Amino acid sequence: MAKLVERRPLKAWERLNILAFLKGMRTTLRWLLKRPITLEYPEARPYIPDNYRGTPTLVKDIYGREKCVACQLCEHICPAKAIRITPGPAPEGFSHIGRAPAIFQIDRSRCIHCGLCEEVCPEEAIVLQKEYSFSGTDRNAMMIDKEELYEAGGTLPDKYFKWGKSE
Amino acid sequence: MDDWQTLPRVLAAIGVVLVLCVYMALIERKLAAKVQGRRDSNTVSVAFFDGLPFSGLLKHWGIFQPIADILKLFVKEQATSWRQKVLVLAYFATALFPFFVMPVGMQKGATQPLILSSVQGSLLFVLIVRLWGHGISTQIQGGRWRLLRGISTELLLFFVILSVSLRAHVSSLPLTFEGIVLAQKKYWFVFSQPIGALLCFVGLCLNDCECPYSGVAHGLLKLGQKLHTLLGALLFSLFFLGGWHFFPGLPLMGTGVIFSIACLGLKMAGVIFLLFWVRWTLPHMREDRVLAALWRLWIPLAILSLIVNSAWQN
Ligand code: SF4
Ligand code: SF4
Repeated sequence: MAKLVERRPLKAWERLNILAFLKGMRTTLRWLLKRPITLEYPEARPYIPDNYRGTPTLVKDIYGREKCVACQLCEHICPAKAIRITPGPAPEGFSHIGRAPAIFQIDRSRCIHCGLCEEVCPEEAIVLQKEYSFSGTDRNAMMIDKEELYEAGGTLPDKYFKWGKSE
Repeated sequence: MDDWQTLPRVLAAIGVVLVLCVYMALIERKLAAKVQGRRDSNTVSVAFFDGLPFSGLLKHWGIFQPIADILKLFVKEQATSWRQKVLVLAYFATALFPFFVMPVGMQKGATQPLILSSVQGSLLFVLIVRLWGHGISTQIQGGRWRLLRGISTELLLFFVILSVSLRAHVSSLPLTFEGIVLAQKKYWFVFSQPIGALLCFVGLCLNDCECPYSGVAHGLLKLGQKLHTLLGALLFSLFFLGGWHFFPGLPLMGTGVIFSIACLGLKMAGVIFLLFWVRWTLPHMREDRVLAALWRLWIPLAILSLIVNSAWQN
């Protein structure tokens, strides 16, 4: 229910706005004595929490093997259609897995950092990490392929080793 | 004063005033940044100067920022019409000329204050030149509101000048800035005429000029604005804060000219800080409300205080 607030007419001395003005002066003075709240950006970086949703990256397990099985779930759920996957055969000796991505591309200029790909991935192979600042001279520079994605992703030390079955 | 000395003196005065203005602008930027919770200019440094001692500190304080700003103005798109150029120059001149007739200090025992040219009607001269400046700024930015506001604030200032010079007249001192300052030897007018001081301050807070140009014209206009702020602070210090007198009740302490100038400068700095403080509290005021307040409240109050003052004198 909306609450109705009675607005009483201002008294004559209130309409002079003297008190309001003095309050304003007090506010300005208070800010004048504070430290600035902005950061010296490129030199000082903001604090980034661990669950920050930066750029999506591909990760490997602790044995250095790629976790992605090219199921393409992330490609399908991506609302911005930023992911392009071309499945290929799994590497030698891992035929029980079936597939691995032959080409895995993420268009960083399309990605909206929603995190749905990370959420949907059955293998926890795609993770949004802390990196957030990129630059390039054209759109193609924002197209990140598999090697770069693994380079940016590194290793995720978790306890599931589906790929380890063949060992 | 010999004639051959006049030109260097005038040039020196202009130089001092302009440098003051430029660095006042820098300080205003710093205050504005503080009030808005952000950092101010701290990245400009001079080539080949970077390794020297203190260069980092100077850079951090933004000492070189005004120089960069001024250089930048020359490479921006310039005003093209002659009308604009003439108007901007005229505005700048109206902001500069009043400084020539205003005293800035006095040596103990001297008969003449430190002043470029002491003319009889200096009070009126300043008032008229300021009024003219308002007219020109209206020409520059258009809008009758602005002109009305300028006229009304000068009217306010006119009443204030009348009431302070009345006091000087009673003490049979000349009706100039110098006379008004000398009349405050015992007590400053800010104590005996607080209403007048308030009125004067309100008048000074209200004169402002938006800047529609770019390039050098923009720079001159901005500089003109800063000059007006400086001029306002000088006016207020001379009228109400006892000018170069050190302390109410005490005559000029020490003897030096430097000391008297420092006293006046300190007062001006205080007034300028107050002006900036008000400006960053009320960055935009609605013109109609300003005018309403001026004509319904401040000008009647000014007339009333003038009447009371003159009754008090007799
Ligand atoms: S974070 Fe969202 S937009 Fe970016 S790739 Fe993943 S699903 Fe697509
Ligand atoms: S990253 Fe995950 S969701 Fe995307 S294709 Fe690979 S295994 Fe499937």
